[in-house]
Amino acid sequence: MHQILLRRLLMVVPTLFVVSVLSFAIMRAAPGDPIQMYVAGGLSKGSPQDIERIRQNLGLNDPLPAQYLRWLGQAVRGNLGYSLTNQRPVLALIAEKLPASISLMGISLLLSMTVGIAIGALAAIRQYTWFDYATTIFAVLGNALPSFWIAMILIWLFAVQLGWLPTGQMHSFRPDGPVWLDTVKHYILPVFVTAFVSLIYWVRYQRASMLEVLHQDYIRTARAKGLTERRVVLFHGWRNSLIPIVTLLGFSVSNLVAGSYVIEVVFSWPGMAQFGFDAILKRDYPVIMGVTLFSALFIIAGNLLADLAYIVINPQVAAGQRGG
Amino acid sequence: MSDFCLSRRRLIATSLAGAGALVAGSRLPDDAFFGVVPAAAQDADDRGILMMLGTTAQFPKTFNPLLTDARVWLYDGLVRFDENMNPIPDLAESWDISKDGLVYTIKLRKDVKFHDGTPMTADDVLYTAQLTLDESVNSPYRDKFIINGKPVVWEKVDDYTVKATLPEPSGSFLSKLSRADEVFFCILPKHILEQCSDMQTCGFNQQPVGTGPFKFNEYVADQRLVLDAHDDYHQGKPGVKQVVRLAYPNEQSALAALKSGEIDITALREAGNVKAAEDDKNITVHRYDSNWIFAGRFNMANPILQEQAVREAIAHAIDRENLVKAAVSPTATVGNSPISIGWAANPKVPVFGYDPDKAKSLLEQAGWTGDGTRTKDGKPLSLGITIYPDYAAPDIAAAMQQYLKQVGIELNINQLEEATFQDDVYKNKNFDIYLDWQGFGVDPDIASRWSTSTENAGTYLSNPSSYSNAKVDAALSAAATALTQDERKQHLWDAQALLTADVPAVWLYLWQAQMAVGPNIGGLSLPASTADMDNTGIFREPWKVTSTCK
Repeated sequence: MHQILLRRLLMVVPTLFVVSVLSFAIMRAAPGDPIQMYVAGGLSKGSPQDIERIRQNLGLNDPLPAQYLRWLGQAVRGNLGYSLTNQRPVLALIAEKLPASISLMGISLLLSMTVGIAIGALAAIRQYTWFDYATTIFAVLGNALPSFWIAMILIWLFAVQLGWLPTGQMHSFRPDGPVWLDTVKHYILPVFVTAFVSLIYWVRYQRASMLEVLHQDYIRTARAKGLTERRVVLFHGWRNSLIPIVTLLGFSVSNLVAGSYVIEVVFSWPGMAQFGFDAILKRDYPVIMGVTLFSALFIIAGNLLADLAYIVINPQVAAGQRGG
Repeated sequence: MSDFCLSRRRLIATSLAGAGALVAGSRLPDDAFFGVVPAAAQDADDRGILMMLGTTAQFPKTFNPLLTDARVWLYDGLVRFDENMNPIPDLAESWDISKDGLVYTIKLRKDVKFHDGTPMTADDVLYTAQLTLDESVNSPYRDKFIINGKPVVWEKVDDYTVKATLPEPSGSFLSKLSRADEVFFCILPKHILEQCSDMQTCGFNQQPVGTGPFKFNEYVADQRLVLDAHDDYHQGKPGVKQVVRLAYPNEQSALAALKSGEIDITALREAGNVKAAEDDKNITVHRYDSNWIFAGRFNMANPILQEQAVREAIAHAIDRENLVKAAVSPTATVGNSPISIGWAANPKVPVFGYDPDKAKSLLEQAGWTGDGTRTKDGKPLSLGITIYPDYAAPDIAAAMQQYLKQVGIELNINQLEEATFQDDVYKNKNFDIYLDWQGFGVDPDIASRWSTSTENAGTYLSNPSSYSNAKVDAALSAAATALTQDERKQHLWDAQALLTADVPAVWLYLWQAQMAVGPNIGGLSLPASTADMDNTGIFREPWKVTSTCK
C-alpha cells in the first residue's frame, strides 16, 4: 500500500515537468507578444524602441530552451516569477484567486458525488421503473449538453428573466440583504452547473456498478441467509459497488479543473481559471505557466485522493494484495 | 445634507459588519466586495467622502508611474494644463526657455511635500528623469525624453532649480513634463526609490508615495482603492477627506448606485444607460471626444488597394454617420482626419462623404465591372477586413460589409483574438484592411503612425499599412522641430490635408468619454481633453472637489 502511494508521489515530479514543457512550448508557438499586449492593451503606448528594449531586458529575446531553463531554475526554488501585466509575484496572485476556485470546485465535487451516488444507487435498486428511465434520460441529456450552454440558459432564465439570482461574480455591489445570503446566491448557479456536469458520471457509474454487484452470488447468499433487504442492499451491495466508483474521483477532479475554465469565465468568477484565461489572452507567460502547474497539481491530487479512497474502501488493497 | 447620503451611511455600516466577521476569524472570501473600507483618519474632519466607480480595467495593476498609468491622484508633474490645454505650472514654479529652444531652466516650488512629509527638491526631479531614461528600468515611457534618437540631458542647478538640455528643439517638450496621458512624468521620491534594486519588483509599486492631493491608503486588487487627503498638498487642502474607488460588476449596477446616491461619479458607455442617466434630473452627464479615432486602414502594399479609385470608392460607399450612430452610440462623433480636435486639427481636410453612385462610377472608370462582385482582368474585387473584438468593431465590420456589397465589393471579415491581431497586423502586415484605434495623448504627434520611417517598426505605434508620401514625411518632421505652436500648426495642417487626400483609411468615430456625475459633489473643474483626464475620472483639479456625503 505504501509502495503504491510512494510510486504515485514520485510520479508527480515527472508529470509536472512534462506539463510545464508542454504548456511552455504551446504558448510560445502561439502568435502574439506579451510586451506588445502589455503596452498596447493598457492605456499606454510605448515606442517601438521601448518595446524592443523591455523585451530584451526581460529575456524574451533569448533562445526558447534558455528561457525555459531559467524559468525551471526559478520554479524549483519556489519562485514562479513575476506577472508581466500585474507586476506582482505569480505565486501571490494565484494565492489570491485560489480560494474562489477551490470553494467552487469543492462544493460542486461534494454535491455531485453525494447526490450522484444516491441517485445512481436508487436507480439500480429500482431498475426498469420510471425513476430509472428518468435518470437515464436525464443523464444522456446532461452529457450531450455543453456546460457553457447550460450556464448561459440558466443565467438567461434565473438572472435575466426572473431576476432571482445574480448573473455572475461572487458578490453584489449592493447586497439587498445580509452579506452571507448574497454570497450564497452567487454560488447557486455556478455550483449547480459545475456539479451537474459531473453528477451525470457519478449517476451512471454508480448505477452500473450497483447493478453488477446486485447480481453477484454473494448477494443471493445474503438474501438466502434471510438478511433484511435493507441490510443486503446497503452493506453487501452498496459498499462493494463503491470500490470501482472511487476511481471516478480522480476523473471527476480533472473534469472539474478543466470545466472551471469555462464556468469561471461564463460566470465572471474571480478564481484561478478566469485569471489564467485572461493571462492567455494577454500572453502573460509566467502566469500561464503558474496556473497550468496549479491545475496539474489539482488533477494529480485528485488522483491521489482516489487511490487513497480506494485503499480505504477496498480491504484487499489494504492487505497488500491489490485486488482487481 | 441630502437624502442621497443615507444609503452611503448604510453602505459603510455594512462594511463594518464585514470587518467584524474578519475579526471573528471567518475569513471567507466575502471581504471581497467593498467590505472593509478603512475609516478616514480623523472623525472630527467634517469634509465629505468621494465615492467613485470604475471598471476593473481602469484600476492600475501597479502604482509605479514609470511602469504603467498609475496617476490616480497620487502624483504630480512639473507642468499641468489649464482648461484650454495650455501648459501652466504645477510642481514647477516657472520656467525659462533659451532662444534656440534647447535649454529649459525650471524653477521648482519650495512648498511641496511627499506624502511621508519629506520635502520635494531638485534631486527628486533629477532622479525621476534619470529613472525614466535608465534602460534597465522597463519603462514604456522612456521615449518622451528621447528626441531624434538622443536623450535630453538633465542637470541640477540648485536645490530648487533644474536644467534640461535638448539635443534638438522640440515644440512638444513642455507637455512632456506633465503627468498627462502617454507622458506620465510623475515626480517620485528619491529617498524611497533609491532603496530598490529592481524597479519591476520594488515594494514601492504596491505602497506608493507621491506629491499628489491624495495619498495611498489601501488597494484590494480588482475591487477597491482607498485614498486619504494629503493635507500638505501644495495647491491647498483637498476638499474631501477620503476617496473610495470601487470596481463595478457591470454598468447597470453602477448606474443604480449613482441614482441612489451611493456613489458620486461613474463612467458609462452603453447608450441605454447614458440615456437613463440623462433622464435623471439629479445626474449630469459630461461628454468628451478624444483624439483617438477608430479607423479602417488600407494596406497600401495590396495591389487592389494601391488604386486610389478603389480606396475612394470604399470611402464613398460607406454611410459613416449612420453606421457610427447605429453601431457605436448616437452621440459619437465621426472624424475625418488623424487629428480631429484641438488647435492641431485641420478643419478643411477633404471629406469623402456617403455617395454610393460616385463609388460605383469610380470603380467602373477604374475597370472594375460586372454584376455582383466586380472583377477586373478576371480578378474579383474581394478584400478582407482584420479585426479584434474591441467594443463595436464586429458590428462596424458587419455594416461595412453590407455597404460595400451594394457597390460590388466583397468584404470578408477576419476576426482574431487581440494578441494574434497585433501579430498579424503590426508584425506580419498580413491584412487588406484593419480596424484599430489611431491617436495620441496631449501632444498631436502622428508621425509614428503615418511617416515612412516607421513602416517596419512592427509595433502598435507604427505604420503597418506601408503608407508613404514624401511630402507628408517632410511636413511631419518640420512640425516636430518647429518652436512655436503657430509654426507647428501650419505643418500639421499641411500634413493632414495631404494625408487625407490620399485616402489611406476610412475614418470612423472618435473615442468618447461619458462621465455621469451625481448631485452631491461640488468644485468640479473639467478638463479640455480626454488626454488631460485621469483614469480616475473627469476632474482636472481633484483637490477642489467637495462632497456633501460623509
